Amino acid sequence: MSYLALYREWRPRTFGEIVGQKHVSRTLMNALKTDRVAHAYLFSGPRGTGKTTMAKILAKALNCEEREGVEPCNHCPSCVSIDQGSAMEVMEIDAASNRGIDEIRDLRDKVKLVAAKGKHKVYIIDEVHMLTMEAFNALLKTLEEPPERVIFVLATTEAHKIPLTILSRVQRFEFQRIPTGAIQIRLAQVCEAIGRQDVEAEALRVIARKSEGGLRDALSILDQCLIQDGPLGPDAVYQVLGMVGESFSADLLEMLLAADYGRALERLGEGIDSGRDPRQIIRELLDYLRQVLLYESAQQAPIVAPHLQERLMHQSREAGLERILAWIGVLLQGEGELRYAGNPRLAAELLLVKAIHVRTEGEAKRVSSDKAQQEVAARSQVKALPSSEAVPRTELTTETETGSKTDSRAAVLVLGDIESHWPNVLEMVRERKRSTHAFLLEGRPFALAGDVLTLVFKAGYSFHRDKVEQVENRGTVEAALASVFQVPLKLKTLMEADIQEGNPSPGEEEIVQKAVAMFGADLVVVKD
Amino acid sequence: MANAFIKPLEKAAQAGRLPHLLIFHGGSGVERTKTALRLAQVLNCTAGAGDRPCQECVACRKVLSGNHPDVSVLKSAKASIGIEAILHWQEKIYRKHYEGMYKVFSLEEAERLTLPAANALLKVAEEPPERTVIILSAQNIEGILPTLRSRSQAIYFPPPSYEVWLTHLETLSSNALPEEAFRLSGGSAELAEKILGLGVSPVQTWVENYWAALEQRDFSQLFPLFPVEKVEALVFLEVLAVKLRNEDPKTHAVALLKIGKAIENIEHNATPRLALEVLAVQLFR
Repeated sequence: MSYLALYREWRPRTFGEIVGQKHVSRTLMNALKTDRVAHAYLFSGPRGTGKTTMAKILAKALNCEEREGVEPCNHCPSCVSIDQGSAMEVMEIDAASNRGIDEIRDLRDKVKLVAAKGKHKVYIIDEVHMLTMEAFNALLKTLEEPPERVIFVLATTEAHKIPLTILSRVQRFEFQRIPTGAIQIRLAQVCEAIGRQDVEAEALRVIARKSEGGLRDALSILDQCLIQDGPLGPDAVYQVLGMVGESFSADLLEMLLAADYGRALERLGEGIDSGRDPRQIIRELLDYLRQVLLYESAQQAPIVAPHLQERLMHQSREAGLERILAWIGVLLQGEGELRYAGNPRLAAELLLVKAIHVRTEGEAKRVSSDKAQQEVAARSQVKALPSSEAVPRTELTTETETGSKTDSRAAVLVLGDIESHWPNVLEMVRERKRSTHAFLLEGRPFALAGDVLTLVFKAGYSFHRDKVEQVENRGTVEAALASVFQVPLKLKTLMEADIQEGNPSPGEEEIVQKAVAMFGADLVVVKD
Repeated sequence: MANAFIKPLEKAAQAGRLPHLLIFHGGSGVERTKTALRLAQVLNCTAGAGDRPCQECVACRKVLSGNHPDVSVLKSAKASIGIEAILHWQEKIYRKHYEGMYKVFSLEEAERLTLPAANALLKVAEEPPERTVIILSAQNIEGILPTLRSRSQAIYFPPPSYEVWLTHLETLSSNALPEEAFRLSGGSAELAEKILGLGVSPVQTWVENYWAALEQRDFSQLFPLFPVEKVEALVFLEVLAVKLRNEDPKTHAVALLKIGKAIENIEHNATPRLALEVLAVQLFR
């Protein structure tokens, strides 16, 4: 009569019922079919993915009296006694509690006794990673050549703690995290079977996401949610899990985007005051940002509540890849520290401040590049301003804003201007990043075509050239050029050798020709 | 009750549908222990379904006085809870009920379980005998083995509100100012307790002097503020951070980050004085 947790009540009892892990169950079923079951197995994989369950089903299938094909019948005396844990021929050993050499010696002595009723004896050694080194070694001989009809199944979450000598004596199966979709389907089945159709699909999705691929976690959470009566929506799940929910994270991101310290902290405070763990709030924000990242970088449809999708896409466009990455970097690092922080609330607040702060620092660059794009559109080329004083980073924003006034003084920039102000550019780059300056020293301006500035490097300095070509360094140089000449310039680099061939810039045509020569005409398609 | 989830938990207990492994985390230890005992009462009370716990029947009183044979609270006096203690405890879990309906086993400060001890709990925590409830209580759930967490239902206790916190304070000297301490701490009961430990006015004076020195950019004003112990320095910096955050997080953003860095350094055993002076120099700019 006693209440059983859902994950115990719904522990699969046949191979067919196991969710995921098809690669394992198929192999085992084939082994059973052809009667070629190995004498030792190791099941390893993340928690809640079905290792112990699989071991129990295997034990039942081996001993079942009325086996239907390869599946155990689950109602013959043998199956029932194994389910109850009272079977003589199936020993389930908790290696974490019996971890010493003495227990293993004891086991070794008993292994020799033949199973009753001429069936298989199965030893399921769970949490096997906790055995001591001596105990493992005592097990080696037995594991290599156990008596007839004795089968060992070792199960663990931490396969890397198992000695190699054990690993080489067993057939190893790696269990995988169960996909969110599969978990959701299983949860729906369970809900239907226990007569709780009032659980919304959206709620199950939240549970499945939160369980991180462990079905046991998912069923535990569902169990916890089902204590409440009445229809179960995502909000109720958030409430039970102590989560703030996706819209909260969306709000926080909104405030990060607006760089609004006050409101971001206020919102965080509201979350904490409503009884949420600050660590959890940060973790959820990270999850949300991950979805934004997936959308922004891979155009993958975000897995969030339907009503938030539009908002997420909008935010993703607004933020841009660079900022998302910066935020994730800050939060990820902070999340690790937050775990053990003495004052989690303060630590979470500082983390948000840091995220916004990083953003405003990056803002200066972004504004200047925005500006640059506008000016490209306008195609206005401005006479260089002799700005010999260095412009500090923080003033960059205002500087480029006033820059728009100089647009009116449009004049054509020629290579000579660039050459005469080249020391300024170098100085500007040095202000920003010394290493870039060092690489740039070896190059000199060679040609100016439209907004493309070509730099030439002496022979033997290809390393310097490659470094300047790197996105980050390139950005620094281009930003410096933009602020010295008030005109966005694109950087292009060449080696001296390239020019001597009389071809300062290999045109598109030539590249295509080369490609055709290499791959053949039918494989080369020119796309814009 | 402050925690919205305790009510459903009690309801589940009354319906006999309580999960067999619970983890209580967050909040204050007193509150977690109280909740665990209350659940034990609900489970074992002999009164009718509606009014459990009655607080009057023998079972309820035994639970409260710690004499119920089926209710066991394990609290380790040592710095860690070893496998020996757990194996002993495990044996008790597998025993039959004495007189109650449910066996309730509560382990306090479960983050102090050693790795072997936590692993030894795994099997029993997954499939305990019938009518048995195991409760692990920890301040920070990150300190508990993930495989244990996956078998459990975790209940988060929010930090106590001012009123609840006040009732948990054991002894108050007459000149202590709990209200002021709570305000300085920005609502963190733990910090407030530490402030009370150091005395409210010394903390306030120190922080004000330090900040004044920073604003006047006068390094010599810092000298009388030392020496400072590690614990003190952490409290001072946290109070300062709360103060700046409340004033205007935007203008103080850089300062807040530097303070965060200084706190981290001191937690990693940097010399408090050095860390505070470095912070001061950084904030002069």
